[in-house]
Amino acid sequence: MIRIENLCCGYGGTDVLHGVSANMGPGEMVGILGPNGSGKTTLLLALAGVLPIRDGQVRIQGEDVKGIPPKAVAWRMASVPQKAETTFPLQCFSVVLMGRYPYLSFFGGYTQSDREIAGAAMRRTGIHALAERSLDAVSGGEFQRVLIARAFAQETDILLLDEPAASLDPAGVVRVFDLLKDRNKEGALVLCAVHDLNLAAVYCDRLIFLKNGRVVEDGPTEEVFNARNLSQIYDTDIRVSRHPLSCAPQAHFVPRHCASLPSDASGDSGRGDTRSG
Amino acid sequence: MSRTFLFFILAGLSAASLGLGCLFGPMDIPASKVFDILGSVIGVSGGDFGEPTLSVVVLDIRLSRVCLSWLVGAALAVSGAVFQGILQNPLADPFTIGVSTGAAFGASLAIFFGLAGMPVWFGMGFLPLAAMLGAFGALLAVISLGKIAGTLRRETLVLAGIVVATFLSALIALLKSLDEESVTGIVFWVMGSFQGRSWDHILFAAPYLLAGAVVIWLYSREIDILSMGDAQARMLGVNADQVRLVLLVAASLITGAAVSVAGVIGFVGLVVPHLVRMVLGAEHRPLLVFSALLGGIVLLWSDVLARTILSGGEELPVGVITALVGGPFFCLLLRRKSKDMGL
Repeated sequence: MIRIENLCCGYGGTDVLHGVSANMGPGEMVGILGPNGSGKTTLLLALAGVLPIRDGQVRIQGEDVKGIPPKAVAWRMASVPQKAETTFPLQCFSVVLMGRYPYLSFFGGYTQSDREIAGAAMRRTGIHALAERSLDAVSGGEFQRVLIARAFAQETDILLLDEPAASLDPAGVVRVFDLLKDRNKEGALVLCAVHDLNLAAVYCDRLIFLKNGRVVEDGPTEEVFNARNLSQIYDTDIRVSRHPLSCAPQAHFVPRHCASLPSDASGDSGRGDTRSG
Repeated sequence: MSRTFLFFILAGLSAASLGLGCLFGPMDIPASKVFDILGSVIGVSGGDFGEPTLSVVVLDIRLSRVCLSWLVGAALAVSGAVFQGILQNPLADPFTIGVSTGAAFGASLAIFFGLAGMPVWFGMGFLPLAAMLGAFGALLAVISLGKIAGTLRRETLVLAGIVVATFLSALIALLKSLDEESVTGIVFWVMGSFQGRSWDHILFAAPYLLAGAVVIWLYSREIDILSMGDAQARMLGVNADQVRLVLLVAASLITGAAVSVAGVIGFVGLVVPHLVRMVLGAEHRPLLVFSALLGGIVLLWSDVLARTILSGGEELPVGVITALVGGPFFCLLLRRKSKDMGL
């Protein structure tokens, strides 16, 4: 569905990605992880067509993305940016309706069916009541769901998200990722940059770790999410235990004041986090 | 209040203002006579008024002036809304990127060399043409400066606009200091005025206004998307740089045309879109329509005030009125806004 070959990309005079390759198919929920500055956002921007590709190739459903007109890219792939600029107080519904923009002809307008699709996307993300609210009067979590509703309204098979849970409270995080997981279960490819390791491990079946613009690990969560890999990638001591319900691996970093305590964390015990006291 | 209802109110007010605006002028013509003459144009009343001069005054002097001031007000408000949207800057106005300074420089050159009255376009004189050329020159300079700096991003555009405007202002100051006699002409033109304007001026400006308005309307949905940033626009399949350039040229076209026939009239393009946005929200399609209507009404009555406020029959430049009224009004808007936000 998405095939990335030796992708190089960057800003101004500096390259951020130095030859990233990956292959992703329908129905996958892939987390992109890595330390700050590793190129997570850059990769998503390059895939979305915001940043020009300097070298290498990105193929979407078999076609070279460079050869697809921008609107046609937006039929296949919807993006939720990390931050959105809201200079003017547009209504939430107008923003969701923008998801139908790629389907407009030059002289045509939004049709009744476009409005229904946008309305359905808002109901699905639980923000239907905010339709006429202006953007400057909604909370961060609500705004994030407006952007996700817009991506849903695009009706694409691929969703790209850049830290959709950043700055949300736990309830907001779970709500957003549950929505993404539902969409994923319907067959969509969800590709999501995540800063929170444990969140990614709970929701994603596959993780791609970037470091310094290169892929350092790529594989099923169970295989790549271990203490050795994580400690190496993040240059700090990290231990792994299990989520009490989903049994997904969960990472715990080790503060200096408890580094010398004895550890029972072989990785699979119920309380593997070695807290003092 | 529904949008449709508000639209009919403003459209009705516009039409009424066009008629009522013809009542004012140095010559004392009874209102009934004025309405008789206006009625004959749209075929409501008969065509015999006794004095043909009256009909000349009402139709050729007053009505043309009222129509022109409405058009210029609408044009400035629309281009202000467009500039604010595509530059994502609530403080942008039609003059932000230096097009108006270009027009002012063109006009100043024409006045300086004594070419202002040279008849080239029906009976209108060279001045508007020189201003239009100046506006285009400035726009080209801003775009090429922006391209040298890389892409046509909004920061680059605003910076390039400031550079060009500052440079041209210095040249205008130079022209003024070189020739004492032309100072009055330049100053009066730069403050903006509708004195002595005729149907010829409307004919001159109309094609640009129409072309610009059509392009802006076709791209009005893209303004909404651009107002949320380039990255998002590209994600939705909008070619951000290209669409911004098209809108920039279209908005500059109508600004250039308006400034060419009326001079530099401030505050309408800044305040009117803000006012409309506060009542109707920020969606650009309704914003453009209502800004045009309100901008037209505001400038029409500002011009009526400009030509009647002094008892001796002299006129004030209408730019003085809009600045004197617009400045404090803008402060009120800001105050109300900060109160709404609980500050």
